Formats: sequence, C-alpha cells, structure tokens
Amino acid sequence: MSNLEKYNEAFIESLDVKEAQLEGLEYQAVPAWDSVGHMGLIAAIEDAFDITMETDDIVDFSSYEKGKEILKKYDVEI
Amino acid sequence: MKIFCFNPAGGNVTFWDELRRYIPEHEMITYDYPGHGSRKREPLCEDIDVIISEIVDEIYRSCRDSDEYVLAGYSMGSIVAVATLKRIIDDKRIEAPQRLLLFAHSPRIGRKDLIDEKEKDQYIKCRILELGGIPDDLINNPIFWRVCFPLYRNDFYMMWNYNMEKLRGVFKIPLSVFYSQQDIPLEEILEWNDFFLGENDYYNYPGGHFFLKKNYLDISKVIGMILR
Repeated sequence: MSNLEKYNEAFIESLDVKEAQLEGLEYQAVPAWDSVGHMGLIAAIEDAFDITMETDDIVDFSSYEKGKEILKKYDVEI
Repeated sequence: MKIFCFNPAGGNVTFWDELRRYIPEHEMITYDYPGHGSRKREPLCEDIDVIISEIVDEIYRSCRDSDEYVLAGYSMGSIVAVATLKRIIDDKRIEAPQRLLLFAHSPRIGRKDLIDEKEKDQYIKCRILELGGIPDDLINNPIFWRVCFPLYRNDFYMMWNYNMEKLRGVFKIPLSVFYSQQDIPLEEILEWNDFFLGENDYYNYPGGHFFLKKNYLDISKVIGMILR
C-alpha cells in the first residue's frame, strides 16, 4: 500500500468519510472530526506510519492537507 | 450583567457554550488559561497568581465603575474565582462583584505534599477518571492522555499551590453554590460558609461532578432568578 493509500485509509476509517471528501477536509467540518475523532485519527496515522507525533503537531493537524505537511517532518512523504 | 467564567481543570472556554445559550440575557465572558484552548501554543502556567493577574486585568478593562458583574467557576474554576475575588478586593480598583457562582467544588483543595511524589501522576489520572467528563472513546486513547494529561497535571498543581486557609472569614459578598451530592457531600460543600459570611445559597443536582451537562435548563432558571 502506498503512503497516500495508508494516509487516506486512516481518514476514511477514523472519520467515516469517503475518499471524495478528503481533499480540503478540515477539523470539525464533519461531525466525526471532533476532539474525540481527532485523537482516533492521530492514533490511526501513528499506527499506519509507525511514528509518534509531538503534541504541537497533533494540535496543529487541522486538515487533510496540513497533515501531509506535518508528516514530512517524520520523513513520511505523501 | 457580566458573568466572568472560569473553566475546570484541563478545560477551555467551550465548556460554557451550552450554558451561554440558556442565559442569553447575561454576557458570559470566558477565559482560557495559558496552554489551553485558544492559547494552546502558549506555555502552561502553574502559578495561579500570574493567571489571576491576567484575569483581573481583563476584568478591569471590561468593567466600568458602575458595571455590575459576577464571577463564576466550575470545579477548579471555583478556586480561580475565589482567588480572583480576593485580588479584586485587595486591589480596590473596582467594586467587588455582586455575587459568586461556584460549581462542583468545596473549599478543600488537597495538598500535593500529602501525595507521594512518584504517585502524583497516577493520583491525578485516577481523580480525572473518577470525576467523569472524559468521553468513553478517549479513556484508553494514549494520544488523548499524551496531549491532555499535561494540562490536567498543570491545573492540579496550580490549584494545590493556592492557600485557601488564609481566606477563612474574609468574604461578605453573596455566594451561590451549585453542586451534586453524588460528587461532594453537603457537609463538605457547606464549608463555604466558613469563607463567605454573607447570604449563601446552595443548589443540589443529580449527575455527579459534571452535573451541569444534565441540568442546563434548571440551572439557567436559577441563575436567572438569582441575578434578577
């Protein structure tokens, strides 16, 4: 599975969204991406890429696109 | 009337959103502690005096001499409200508030020196879980604890650092206390009478520590009546 596929799957599974909804998706834009959903999403991403994110990055992870930028810091290219 | 509202430990200003909808006739002014909510990028602060200084500056900016206002605090926010009241009285820059509204806390704040140093984190975590308020989906989520536990720890330490004993018999302004006997027994809640010597009233609700979330309508009616 490519990094993009893993990344998308984390969003789709955690937030119960479709792939077509991912581009431009932001925190709190869908009901499932609330503070509870956010923690689940981060857990899924950490598991998918075997990384441990810093607290600031978890807090800053505010959109599908922003998440891709943040993951570069962990040597994960999407 | 302006109601300055202070959050529970680990909380942020969104805690008051629902209650705000029920009392639109009053202006609820909320405040995020450093490192919490909208101020999440700032360092946490354990020094309650620093936080009180910020709060009173905001109150002095918001209130003109003739403005009536009250202070409200939920759980640890009650201690912040009381500490703020003390500072306002000492500063003598504006009139004291009309009343305090305290939720879900007695004057007892515990002492961190009574808890074994190595067990403090575990104590705090157990206490947070006992009090409820953590969604079930997050209780076993390591990300949640990694991100949020430092805020809880900071706030517990901040509260533990405050000396409530020096405030016995100090206050004469009216006090209204909202509590749940399922959380704090009445005899402990009534200890506020040792600190506030004026007219105090007490309101009990079912629902444990976060009883507010199950009683917005009733509580808003009481607040409306009290502040009329």
